[in-house]
Amino acid sequence: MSEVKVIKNVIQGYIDGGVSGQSEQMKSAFHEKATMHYIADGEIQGGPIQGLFDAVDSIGAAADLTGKFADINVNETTATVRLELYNWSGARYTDQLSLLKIHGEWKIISKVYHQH
Amino acid sequence: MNYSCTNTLRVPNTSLRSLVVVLVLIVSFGLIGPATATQRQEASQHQAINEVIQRYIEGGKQGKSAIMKPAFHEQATMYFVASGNIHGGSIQGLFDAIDKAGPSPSLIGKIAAIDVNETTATVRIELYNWGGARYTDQMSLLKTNGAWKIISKVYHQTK
Repeated sequence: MSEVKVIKNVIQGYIDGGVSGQSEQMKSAFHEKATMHYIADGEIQGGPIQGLFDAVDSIGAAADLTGKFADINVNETTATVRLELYNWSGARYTDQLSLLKIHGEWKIISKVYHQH
Repeated sequence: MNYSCTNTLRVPNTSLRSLVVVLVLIVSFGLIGPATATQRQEASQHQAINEVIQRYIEGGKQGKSAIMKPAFHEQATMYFVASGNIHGGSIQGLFDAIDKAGPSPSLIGKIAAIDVNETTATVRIELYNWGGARYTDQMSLLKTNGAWKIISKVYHQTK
């Protein structure tokens, strides 16, 4: 399987967790030290990825959520992915994810996002 | 004296017509011509991000973390993989390493890609001869009150 395909599979786990509204399903896509940040009113918000897991569990299922891979840039042990997310409980997001290849497994270490 | 420019200005009519036709085509298809508002905005975003990244590279060249600190948000992190293991943590680790390593005047940093999305961006930088080593950085940035800040750095060292 190509590296891009492997990365897509990892990220699909994240999207599937968003669809089901169950953070358990997406946890394996992230490294335990991963962070999530975004801008609100010109200030950086966010912190540990647990904030995402809590939000997903509290929002619940988002059956109409779809994710589209806009760009994947792989560089041996690091990668960035731009992910367009549509209809996550009615909202439209763009994620920019950084990944690391740890013991052969790709893990998201950083998520930044913009809500449209 | 009677200077004549006739000879130097003479252009065969057919060539001149072809030139005019080509120019009209270029302008009408928007190949040249005024940039759209979106294009101008994107260019200025790229310029602002470029300045932030140059500050980081300059800090590396001079071996002074104080120069690059404003490029990073205080909660920024830096991670990399060596022998399969993840290493890194707070960006302070980078600043400490820079100050310890000292100047690296032969360092060259080239921005290979910038992907901007309103308040977020990723940048790929190719770094040559940083204390003799070759790195690729992948940075994530956020736009805080108009100023871009690096929030995440991951890098790969090419052996």
